Amino acid sequence: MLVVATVLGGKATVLFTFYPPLTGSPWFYIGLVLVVIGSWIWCVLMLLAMAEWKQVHPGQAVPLAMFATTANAVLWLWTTVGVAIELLFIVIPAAFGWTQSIDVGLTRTLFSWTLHAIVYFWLIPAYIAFYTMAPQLAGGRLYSDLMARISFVAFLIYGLPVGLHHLFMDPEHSTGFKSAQMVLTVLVAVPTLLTVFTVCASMEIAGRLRGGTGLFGWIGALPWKQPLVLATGLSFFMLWFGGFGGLINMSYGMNAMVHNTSWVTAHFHMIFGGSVVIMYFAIAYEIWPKLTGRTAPSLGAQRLQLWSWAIGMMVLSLPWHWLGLNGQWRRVAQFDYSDPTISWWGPWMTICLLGGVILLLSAILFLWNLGSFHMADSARAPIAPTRYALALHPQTAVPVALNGFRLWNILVLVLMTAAYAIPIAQSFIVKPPQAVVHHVDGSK
Amino acid sequence: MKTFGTKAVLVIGATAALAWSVSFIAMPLIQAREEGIDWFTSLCRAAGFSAAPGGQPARQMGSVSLVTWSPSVLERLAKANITKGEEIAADVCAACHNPNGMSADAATMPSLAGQPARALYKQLWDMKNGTRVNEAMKPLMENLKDDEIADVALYYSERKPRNQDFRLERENSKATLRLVTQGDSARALPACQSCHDTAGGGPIDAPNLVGQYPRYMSNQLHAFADGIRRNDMFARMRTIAAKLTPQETDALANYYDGPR
Repeated sequence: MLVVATVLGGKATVLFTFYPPLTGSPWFYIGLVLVVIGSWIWCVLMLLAMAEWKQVHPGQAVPLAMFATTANAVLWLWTTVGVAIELLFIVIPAAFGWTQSIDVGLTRTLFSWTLHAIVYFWLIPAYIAFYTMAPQLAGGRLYSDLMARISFVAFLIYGLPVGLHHLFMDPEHSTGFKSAQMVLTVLVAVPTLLTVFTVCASMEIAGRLRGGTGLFGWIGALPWKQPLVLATGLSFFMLWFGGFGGLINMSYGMNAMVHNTSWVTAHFHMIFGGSVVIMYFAIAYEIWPKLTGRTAPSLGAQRLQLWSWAIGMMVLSLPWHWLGLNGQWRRVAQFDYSDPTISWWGPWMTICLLGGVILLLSAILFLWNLGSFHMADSARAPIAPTRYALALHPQTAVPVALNGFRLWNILVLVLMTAAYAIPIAQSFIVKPPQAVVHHVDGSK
Repeated sequence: MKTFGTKAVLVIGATAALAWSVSFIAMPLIQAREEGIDWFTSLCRAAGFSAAPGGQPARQMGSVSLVTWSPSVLERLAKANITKGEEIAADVCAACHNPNGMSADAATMPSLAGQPARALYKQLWDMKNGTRVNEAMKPLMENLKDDEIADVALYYSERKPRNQDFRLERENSKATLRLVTQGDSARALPACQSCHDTAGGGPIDAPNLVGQYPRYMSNQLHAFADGIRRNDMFARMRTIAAKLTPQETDALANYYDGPR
């Protein structure tokens, strides 16, 4: 409520990542801090649930869905620390007018701590669906349970000490730390590649079990009418483009070409709005009947919604990438198309707009689809127990290290210290220049 | 038999060690060799520390243009007086550059006629302040106030330039045309016309090259390439000129001379 009220009241126009020394109403930040604290309660609940399960099932492997969700909770606890420090100790005092200047480099560094892992926090639920739901609904088995656990652990380890790749163009850090975090960022591609391999292999098992033969015949044999299977296919398709763009962004040298352009905006629309959110839709379609005991009146409408979302996202973000490559800058609300230098952007932006309209219609259709569960003609059905995909070779016992997070937390601590201790400490050693706080809410 | 955890720690530790040694040792050592700094400074720089107290050596004064396009400078040019400019030109400039801007010596002096007033203002101001070294011009400019420099810049910008009506497509070697219109991406050379053209998006003080004397232009490009002339902002022209072969430099100078 605090956040929405301050944003709608025009008291918090500081863009999405705050951009100090811009400061909005302190209540905007306090609202956000409360959101974060609230989320910590969920994290603790997940940790307790897993501990309890292990107590009841000594020596057994924690189920994959639980292990992955807890990995995400651990990741969230780690990642929110950066932004919490930034808000509590730097931005909120400035917003209240208690301090008159801000070390912008330090705030950006602390935000970068949060910035990348937060993306993986959003991504992991989609990956959980890839591993535990898609193979089951396709009628197959998960190719490797162990591979899945390694992927989630790798996200936890390499999602965190990589945030400086958002600051490649910032002056406050040396090339050494930027380069080291770039190498760690390369490694975060590993769990994604593992996932693509494992999920494709699981789908191949399903396809062959359904009678698909030949090198590619199994693809056609998959139950594409099943929305979550369809969403997995569309998500993977967009992942190629999004992943390719990500590899360019994370390369220190190539990043310089695209850093301040709309290439970056287009990239995260493609990877998050596309690959990830489409899985959220499909998960909702899958879970809704389980929660409400109602069946969907039309799988066709669900498929139409998923297809239109994927197409809309491609139409929106491909021209946008292209404009970014041609130097269209980001973080602006409008362009002066009467300037002959950029007038040719206009038609491309119109195509982007078309993509946006398709996405809007798709989002409305999503709400309609959820609503249709509750219409009179939708059948009530007994609530079926949720089944997660079984592994091809059931993992009765996993390595001790992969049945908990003790070791991985220690490794995260070591890597975070190596990656961030000096970049943060230098702000206190060299006393960098401070920026005058700029209040956008009209106070002071 | 090592446990999974031990193996994981070894792999993660080894990749981290690789990341750190590439970033903090290998790359700085390569950079030290390429940039001609000593290895210790380079190692410190990669880690974010300054080896020498006081940071980077102070910039050599007089090597870089001091002209800033602030609102007051632009205002001064906008309010320049062309009649005053004509008087000053007759008094101070015309002996060498003639009232019409066509100079007496086409090898050491430029054609001023029709150059943008901002380009002329910048060069005159740089010569006054010594960032463009010219022993003949310096004392003359020192006697002029900034407003008077703006006046005379405006006056010569309004003279009729040489060979303005030539077309890019005229007879010329394809390689030269390519440099003018496309540059050479393999050498990171931008197209000449991306800055030196009325429709270009280059710096606002870029001079007009069309109709410039070929020998003067070739001499200036060589001076940039050799680092003798250093008043170009961000070393733009020094970087570009140093990448051109002598043949290309002469060909470009002839190209912009116009049709013969």
